[in-house]
Amino acid sequence: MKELLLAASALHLFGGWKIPFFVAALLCQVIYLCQRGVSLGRLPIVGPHDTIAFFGTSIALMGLPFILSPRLRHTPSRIWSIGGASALFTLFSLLFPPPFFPLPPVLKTLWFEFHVALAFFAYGLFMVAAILAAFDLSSKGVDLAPLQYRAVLVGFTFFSLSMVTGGIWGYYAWGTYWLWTPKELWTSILWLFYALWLHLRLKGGTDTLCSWGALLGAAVTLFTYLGVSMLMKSSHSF
Amino acid sequence: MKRLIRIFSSLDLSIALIAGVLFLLAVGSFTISEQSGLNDGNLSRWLQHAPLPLSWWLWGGILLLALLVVNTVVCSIDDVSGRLRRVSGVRLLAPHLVHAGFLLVILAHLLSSLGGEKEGGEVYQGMTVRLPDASLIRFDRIEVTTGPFGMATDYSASITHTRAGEETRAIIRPNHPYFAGRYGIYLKHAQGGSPPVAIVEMHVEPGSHAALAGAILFTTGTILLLIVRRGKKGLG
Repeated sequence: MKELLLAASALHLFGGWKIPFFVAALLCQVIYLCQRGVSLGRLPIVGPHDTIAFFGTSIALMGLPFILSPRLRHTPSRIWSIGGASALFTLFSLLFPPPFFPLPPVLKTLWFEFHVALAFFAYGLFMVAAILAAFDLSSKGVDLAPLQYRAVLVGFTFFSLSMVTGGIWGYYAWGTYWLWTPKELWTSILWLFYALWLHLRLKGGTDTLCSWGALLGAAVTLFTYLGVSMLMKSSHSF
Repeated sequence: MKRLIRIFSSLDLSIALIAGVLFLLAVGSFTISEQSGLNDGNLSRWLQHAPLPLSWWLWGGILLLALLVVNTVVCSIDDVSGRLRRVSGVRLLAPHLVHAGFLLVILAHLLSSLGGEKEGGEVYQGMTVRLPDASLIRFDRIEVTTGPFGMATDYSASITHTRAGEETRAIIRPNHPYFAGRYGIYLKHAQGGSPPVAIVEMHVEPGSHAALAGAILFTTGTILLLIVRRGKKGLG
């Protein structure tokens, strides 16, 4: 059913500036993930194909409340950008074959599923914040800083919850809530980065500075998710 | 003293310290390897014996975190005392619940680094191992379920824990350890055969309660912040 992902990408890329098309694309992505979930008997969150598809869907899902907000609803280019980012990762996921192997016993727990799903929702929100930041920097139209702040704060909350559930899973699975691996370190870096961003804003950092911070945050997010998994040896590799 | 308090109550210092920790953790992520032995046991012992070129980033990180702890405490006291009459209830408390959670998590890491233990090895069905508190764990039965691709889809071990003449039976499997007092017994892997064998680890994690308490406070604080700061520009 990869056709659903292709359809979702096409809808995002060629009609995603209109909200109904954006929603239709998101529905295709959600149906695909549900189908994968039913066939696997679990959340599809293991392996590059499933995680990247989940990431792409998370961007659109987390972006939905933002595109419905009065500040974005009437700006097609901004709506399209969120869908476009989602489509980009959805298409990227198609480069990898969907795995059908059984889940290793240590991953069969709700703590793991919560941990990963919450992390992707947070990643999605950090990407949305970066897209809003890019528009804030490139145009002098509507002030998007409050939306950026909301995306980061909700993303930070999701990410904190992901770290907590990951710690609980780690304690029951590995005997410790913390391991010194590159993935754990980069997870902490990402969490501290957004803590820094929030404190910078509290201190009265300018919107321009915060926007640059949100863009840098997206780079840190992508490195934490894709860079560490692909370039560094870690227990969290795909 | 006043000058010291002024320095430590500065948000600029918080930002500088967080940035410093970020940098050192990033350096550390490229320095550590599976062979470095960081996850093999007690962190404080590792720090004492690891060569400085391998551990300097962690020493630096600990120093900056220690300063960040002082900074967090002073900032929180300063903020609460300054806003006590103007702001009340959840709005005042929410950011400091986050701070308290952060401090407890740091305490958890400190406790685990000082008193954490980890040992492991191979056991076979019928074998008895002695825990450091002199109680005994007998591995009565080790079972492995294999899937269509030859991969182990599940494994478990039935154990009997004997302490002071009292026997407790339990089944351990991935994500379901057995806790014998302060010792956690974890089944890491198992293989069929005659007799079946398993890889088992014993962990002592003294910081786990503080970590959980910190996590609960932190999560509560961030959710309250989300509620009270909806649409607002600052965090505190």
